[in-house]
Amino acid sequence: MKLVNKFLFVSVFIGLIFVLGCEDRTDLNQPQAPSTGQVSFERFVVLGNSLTAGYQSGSLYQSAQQYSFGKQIANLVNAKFEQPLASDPGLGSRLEIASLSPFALKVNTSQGAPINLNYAAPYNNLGIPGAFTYDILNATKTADSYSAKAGSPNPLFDVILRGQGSQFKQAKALKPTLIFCWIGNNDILGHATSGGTIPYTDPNTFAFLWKQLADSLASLKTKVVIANIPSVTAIPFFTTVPPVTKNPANGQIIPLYGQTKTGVRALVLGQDLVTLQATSVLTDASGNPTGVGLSPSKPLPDAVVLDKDEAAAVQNVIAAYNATLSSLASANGFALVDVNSFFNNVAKNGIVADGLKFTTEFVNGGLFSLDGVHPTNQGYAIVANEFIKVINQKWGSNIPLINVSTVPGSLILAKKIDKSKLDTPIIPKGVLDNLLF
Amino acid sequence: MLKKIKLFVFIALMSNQIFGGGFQINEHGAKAMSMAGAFTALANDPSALFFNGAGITQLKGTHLMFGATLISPKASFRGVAPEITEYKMKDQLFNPINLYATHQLNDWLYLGFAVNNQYGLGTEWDNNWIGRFLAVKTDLKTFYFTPTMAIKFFDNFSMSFGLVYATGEVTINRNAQIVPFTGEANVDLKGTGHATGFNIGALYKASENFSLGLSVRSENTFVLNGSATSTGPNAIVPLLPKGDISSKLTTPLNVTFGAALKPMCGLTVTGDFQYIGWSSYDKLTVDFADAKYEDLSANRDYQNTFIARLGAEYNLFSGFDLRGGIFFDKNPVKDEMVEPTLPDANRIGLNIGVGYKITDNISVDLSYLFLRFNERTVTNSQVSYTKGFAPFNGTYNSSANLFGLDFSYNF
Repeated sequence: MKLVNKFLFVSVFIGLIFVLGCEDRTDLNQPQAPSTGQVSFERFVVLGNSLTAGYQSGSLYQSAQQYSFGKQIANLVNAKFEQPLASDPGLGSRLEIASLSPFALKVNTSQGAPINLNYAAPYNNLGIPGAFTYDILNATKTADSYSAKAGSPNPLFDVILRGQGSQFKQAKALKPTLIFCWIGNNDILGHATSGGTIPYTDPNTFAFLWKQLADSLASLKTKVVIANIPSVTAIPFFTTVPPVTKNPANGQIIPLYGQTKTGVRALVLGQDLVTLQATSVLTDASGNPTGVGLSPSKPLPDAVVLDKDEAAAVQNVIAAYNATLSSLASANGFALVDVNSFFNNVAKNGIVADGLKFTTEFVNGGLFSLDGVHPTNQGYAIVANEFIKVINQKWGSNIPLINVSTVPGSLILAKKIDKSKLDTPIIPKGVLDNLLF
Repeated sequence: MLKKIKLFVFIALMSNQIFGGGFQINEHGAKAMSMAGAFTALANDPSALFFNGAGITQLKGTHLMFGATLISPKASFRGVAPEITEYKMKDQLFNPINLYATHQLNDWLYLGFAVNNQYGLGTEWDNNWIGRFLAVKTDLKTFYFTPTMAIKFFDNFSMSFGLVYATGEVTINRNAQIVPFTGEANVDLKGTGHATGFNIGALYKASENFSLGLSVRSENTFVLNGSATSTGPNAIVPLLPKGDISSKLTTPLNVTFGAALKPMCGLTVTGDFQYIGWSSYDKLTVDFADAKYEDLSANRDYQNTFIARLGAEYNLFSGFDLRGGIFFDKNPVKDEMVEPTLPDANRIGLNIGVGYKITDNISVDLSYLFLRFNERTVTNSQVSYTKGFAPFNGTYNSSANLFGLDFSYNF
């Protein structure tokens, strides 16, 4: 080989290495925003209560608000969605897990603070924990809210409304292209969680208030999605503590005695419901039985018992509410998310979402946060998917569902571990007293 | 009431590809490496103990060779589809060593001893990255000790037989979801063990200018024992897997056929075809000694594969050799099973190197290998990056730079 050839051989080879060695990566295209069909998320507003606010575990706090169902939907379609964020542990009494085994809750006694009180426009998420149907059109501040009239003013109205008018008025000011309005749960829920001791909104009053609300929403001439009221008696708040217990003497299953509508009697498994509140009546702070409920002379108080008559009444009220919502939706062309049917099915069969199985069981089920009423991040994602399905069907959009398995967990594990030994939930007295629904 | 809190802890090692093509190291001598590893029919330096033990019958007297290969891999993942966010694998430098000694006992019997790292490497990703439930740090180290005996049956035909004793050390570290609770746990699995095996080589010199070689390296089954440790939020820790674990991992059978040709004075051209029986690796299991924790089992379903190699050496002037080569390495991992503990893909290797004889009995070999992985876009992933089902679709890009240096001394 001539010298020239030798160098040719070497240089071709080195050249080849440089050519192939450079980064020849294919450019990938940014994902296209999903097709939203006839619906625009440009000015997207959510009205409602704690469920729309993204409330979890007894508090309204930023790390949970980021997974409110409105926010999760807005993220899917790259929509702007400003929320009245509160720094962790939020506004309220946030429940945290002190110990998993035994299972014990505690309240985080710190309070968060609002983060963006000075946001110039109304928030996109105007849901106020504790709001009733009445409040959407009428409450402009804490002092004139429905709960204030009932004697328990709720400071969150001032924090979220900021003196700029009612939820509806602020929504209107945003000239919304799409409104979600999910309200009415509290009109019955407070009655149920108080064991039937707080009155509910009469179904006729509910129909009257919602007719006004529906007319107002229709007057905006925009796309409106409403959702009906889920059955409240299948939530962990009512299903975690059974109306029976083990006899400490011989381990036999014995009924608990409770104050019912028809007087003190032995409660019946499968008929009467005992609320999560009962745990702090049944056991003391360190988890030892108090003796309450074990005899007719020391019955569970009425406030922690939703007896079978009360439970049936609650179901009837919800059915009446939902009949109203259904007729208003069809009369006004609103999309209706049938959360009631969906949740009944979940309560009965559980649900498998993206490879994960969820049930309504307290904590284990993964759907409900520590207050036993409000969803977890995953629970809100599942709710969001129900809204998306309805929107896709109604307005020909093609928004992908949220992959529930990619949503991070949200039940807060407190750092301190409780050393007590019971295998029943230990929920200190008062922990659940300040819940807003 | 709550009798037992079951955790949604995602420790399922449902997709762990600890031994992929990427963990097989074939660079165990700078001279062979610079000829793209096409060395089976040439095998004329002490690294023959790895490539084809029969080759040591060409080495008169006593030969010593030692060196190392520096490996600097790079990889990125863009996804998860439809997102195209880019995540880069952390830079790491690996340095498998090689150490060979051969000795001619008499006219027909030759002995050798080799130490090298035939399987190894690792990947490390940021512990916040999107695939952290699949892989944070994965690491494998093996040491192979191979005493070999080679017999020259005829002037033109030799065979070798070697026994393999290997030690291995595996680390798997990844995060675990603890949904519905906030936070994440981290699970760390470590195991060490050893394996045995054998190898056989044959070299046939059909003529002065043409030779054929065959090399067989057996499967090695590592029986690994170790422990699992987990960290996470205090309240969760008692529920996280820990304690003694055991596992078995089988490296593939390698059968390589090679030819070497001297078409003209000073030039040698070599070609190898290496079959790799990766289907030995069909399943990964980890058994927990504590029955409380579910044992893990995952299908790997690796495919048998091959590497085709072409190399050349040219004697530029006395004592100075120029070498080069190219190879194609078909990866054993199906598209739907690719994942970030081993972002594997078909590769092309480009090799260059030089050899210089400093004195009659001291020589040095240098080599450089650029390894280019085909860009690989996965659209049908069966690997979930969550505890549920969230396909880890996206685009992998990988490359590696390797430098080899060996010193030889004979007397």
